[in-house]
Amino acid sequence: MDGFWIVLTGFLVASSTGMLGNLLLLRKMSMMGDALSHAVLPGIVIAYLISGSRASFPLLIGAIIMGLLTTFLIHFFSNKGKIQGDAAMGTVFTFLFAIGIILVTKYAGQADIDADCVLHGELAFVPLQQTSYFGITAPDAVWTLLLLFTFIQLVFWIGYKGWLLTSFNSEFAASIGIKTAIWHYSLMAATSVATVVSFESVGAILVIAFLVVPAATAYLITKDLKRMVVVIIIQGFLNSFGGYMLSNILNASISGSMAVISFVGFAIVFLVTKKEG
Amino acid sequence: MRKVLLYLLLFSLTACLTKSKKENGNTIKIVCTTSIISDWVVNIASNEMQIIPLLKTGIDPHVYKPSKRDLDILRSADVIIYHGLHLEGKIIEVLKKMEGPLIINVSQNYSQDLIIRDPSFPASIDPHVWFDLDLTRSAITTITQNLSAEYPQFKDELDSNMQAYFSQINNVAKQVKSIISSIPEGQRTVITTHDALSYFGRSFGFNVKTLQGASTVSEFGLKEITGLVDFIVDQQIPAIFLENIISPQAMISVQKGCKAKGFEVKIGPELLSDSLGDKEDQNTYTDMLLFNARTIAEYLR
Amino acid sequence: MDLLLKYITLEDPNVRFVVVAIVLLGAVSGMVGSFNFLRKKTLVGETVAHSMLPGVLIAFLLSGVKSPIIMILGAALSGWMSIWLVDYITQKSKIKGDSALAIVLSSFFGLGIVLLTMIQSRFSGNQSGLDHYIFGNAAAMTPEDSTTFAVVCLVVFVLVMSSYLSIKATIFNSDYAQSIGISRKKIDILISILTILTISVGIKAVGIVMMSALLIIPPTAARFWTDRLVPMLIISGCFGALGGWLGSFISYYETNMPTGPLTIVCVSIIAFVSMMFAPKKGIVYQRWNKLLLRRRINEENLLKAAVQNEVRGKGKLFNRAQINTRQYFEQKLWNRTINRLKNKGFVYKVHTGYTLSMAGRNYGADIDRRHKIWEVYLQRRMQMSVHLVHDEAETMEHFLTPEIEEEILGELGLCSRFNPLLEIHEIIPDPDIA
Repeated sequence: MDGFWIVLTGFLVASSTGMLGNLLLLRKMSMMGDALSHAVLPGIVIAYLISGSRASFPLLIGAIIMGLLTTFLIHFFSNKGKIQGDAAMGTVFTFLFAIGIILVTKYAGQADIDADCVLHGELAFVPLQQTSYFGITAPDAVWTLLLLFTFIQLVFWIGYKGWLLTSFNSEFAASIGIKTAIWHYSLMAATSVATVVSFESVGAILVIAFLVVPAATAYLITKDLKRMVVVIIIQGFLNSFGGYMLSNILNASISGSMAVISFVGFAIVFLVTKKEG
Repeated sequence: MRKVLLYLLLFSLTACLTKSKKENGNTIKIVCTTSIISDWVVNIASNEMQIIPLLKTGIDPHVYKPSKRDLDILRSADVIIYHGLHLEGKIIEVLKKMEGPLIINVSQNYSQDLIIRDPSFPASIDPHVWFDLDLTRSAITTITQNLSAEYPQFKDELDSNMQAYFSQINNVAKQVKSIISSIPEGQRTVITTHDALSYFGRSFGFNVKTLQGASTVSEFGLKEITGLVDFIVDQQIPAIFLENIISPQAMISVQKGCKAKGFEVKIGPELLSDSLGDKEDQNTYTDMLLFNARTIAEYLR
Repeated sequence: MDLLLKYITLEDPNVRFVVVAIVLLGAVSGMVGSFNFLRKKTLVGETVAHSMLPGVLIAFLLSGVKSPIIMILGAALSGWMSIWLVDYITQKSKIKGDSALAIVLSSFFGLGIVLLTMIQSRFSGNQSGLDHYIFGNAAAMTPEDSTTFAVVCLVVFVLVMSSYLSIKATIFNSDYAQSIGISRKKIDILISILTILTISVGIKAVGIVMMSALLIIPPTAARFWTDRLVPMLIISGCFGALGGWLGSFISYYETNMPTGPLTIVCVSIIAFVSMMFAPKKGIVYQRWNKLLLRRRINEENLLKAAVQNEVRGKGKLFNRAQINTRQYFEQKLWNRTINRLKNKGFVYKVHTGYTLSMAGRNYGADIDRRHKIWEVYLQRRMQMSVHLVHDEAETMEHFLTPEIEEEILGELGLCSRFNPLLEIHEIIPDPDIA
């Protein structure tokens, strides 16, 4: 049963983050996963300093709030300051991370407060914590991620038209009176919630990989957003399953293996569709 | 397309579900999170108990990443013993909620007065408690009591093993004390990068000075470096020590700073802090105490 | 104050090591970062830094010892592979730079974790902290670091000078560059070499995040001050160095203040100040400009409406109600605008209302004329329908300069004497004269 839960967890993360990742790809914000993994540090530290405990829940709330603040700051820098998106993102997350380290050093000297130690979950240990709801016993992470998955599905299909327009052609969208900023904010907010919640369940590396690699692979195959979603979901399954198998063979980290397998998938598609020249 | 997907799904399900069942042999599998706890348990356990460390020697709990094997180890365990005090990070939360095996938190009976806390932020605890002998005895007693309650047939054996191990620890403690007392009183100051030896210093009577707190996450600043250099030059401290989990760069920089101020300070070898070593004279708990004491004495005398 | 003096004079040896090294590193990474910034691969430092993990582990596996030099060689090698892969992916597919960076980052780091766990489960021994082992702390520099950075600085300078023109052409117009025979591949390789060189020496000294930040933030700040390559390199280098200098000072002045993160905060503050206050591109300047423009438009609209009011024979006096039939002004806006016009001498207050001065009338008439010229132009040249031209002209009237006006008149085949409002001046005598 352990294997099933792990593959299911991987699949849920892949499809929730992948769907958003495909919009991020079109907006040239693919590094958002990595940026958030660093930027939430001050949120965690402040939550720890206020609550005085390392229980996951307050830390998760702190991280989510900081994730939202990050998207706000990035948008402020790129929109008001007219800084190109990647530079705005880089400035904001390194700045926030530095603030986090300063806070740890200054105020929490004895405590190991680090996203890796206190926030990030471990995919390998997902099956060990189980709870029953509605008569079904499943790992806590699966419950959380099912909730997230439903939330992302809802948000995605509600916002589909707006995001489609504003992602492919934001100037045109603005000219016909669509409020691009609102669409942008809602996408980024959804991304930061999805990312941080997934961090808490399965750890950072898997989320960073699943946010961009399946979306990029799908982008090489098709440009149609709906088809991209289908391709991403198929890959989500293949990557989680293949990664789980690889980790069994190599006796290695499951999330790391899934990231590697995602890249193998990308590489195959890349080599087939490669432009010459 | 759909058919292919369906097949894949079915295939994966069967592949995932065919898992080996837990072996029902006579041996009791005890999984310990760190190499130090493992060594304690090895010393008190009965022959019918198999002890498996989750983190092998030389692996720092701060940077440990689990693999599929580790999940299988935890799944097959009859008893899981962990350290607590946030040493193992998020794994503790998983273990607390895990159902099935007997789970022992060795820190549950620690006397709170003995635990070193950050004075400005009491929720922050220095987790390197195995260097305090009273706390170590408390931890070992906790393990023995819990194991005896679960497996009453081994109670006498466990108790006598524990008494024997305690006297061994006492013996080693005496040796450590005499090694430390061979250092002239004014020179008993150990300088390392991160604060892992506070309990050790408190137990055996030497000062510990470090660049940063117990956390490997925090970073020291320029003021700490210059302060430490001034301190070494001022006190004429003969040697400073490395640690196996932090870049040696910090201590090299301190050494160069002292040199520029006209004082030569030696850099000693890596002291053991968060894990046992893999060499002959470092791979048990008592050897670790002796190794650290000998190294410190050799360089500070 | 004492400490500041001690800091500036670099009296303490460790302060000397750190300040010299960090200023050099800030300068060199500010420059190298600019190239990556302009190629829209600003986050390359982040990717390279994370991609070094598998290299470190493989170097450890092959050599079996924890030697910093061997591990840094491994790190540099896998970092180099990651940059190459990013360039390859962006060249050979429609994947953009940012996605390529994220793909490579996650897969290399994932591979690193796989290797780490494999080492953990297969080999016992002293491998703890492998992933942190080579990452230094900015407060702990040695004279060797300064020497290394000085050499890297020199190498970067020489390499950039040797092919400055090709780099510039490739960055700003790669199609043009290729057409005049500059190999884009060569420039990519050159920039990769600079980047990897800087990152691999920097990461050992200051750690991952600080290195990424030094490649990202100074160019971002510098971009607010200039559009040209050389000034950008210089400004970015200076900002990097200044940030390092300030950060080290605070870390020297206060206890428990980490040098690296403080440097990041200081450069971020420089970037923020640049964003707010830089001339031309700063937010404050742009806001101020917008405000001035909005004021001018309001003034011009009011004057134009007043002139039209006179033409319609409503008399020389006008008030808000009359103006509002042509151009709506809220009470507050009206007060502010009319006051400014009074101060500039375009209108006078007369007891029951306002009246235009000579200058005011000319100004308003000019605007009205521009409006009409643009309407004519849109109809004749752009074939726009009569109903649409008014709204367009309403905006354009504020932006037409005399030169453009002249040009349009020329194009329409009308001489500059064409003046739709000429008769207005004849009909209504100026109050000043009267």
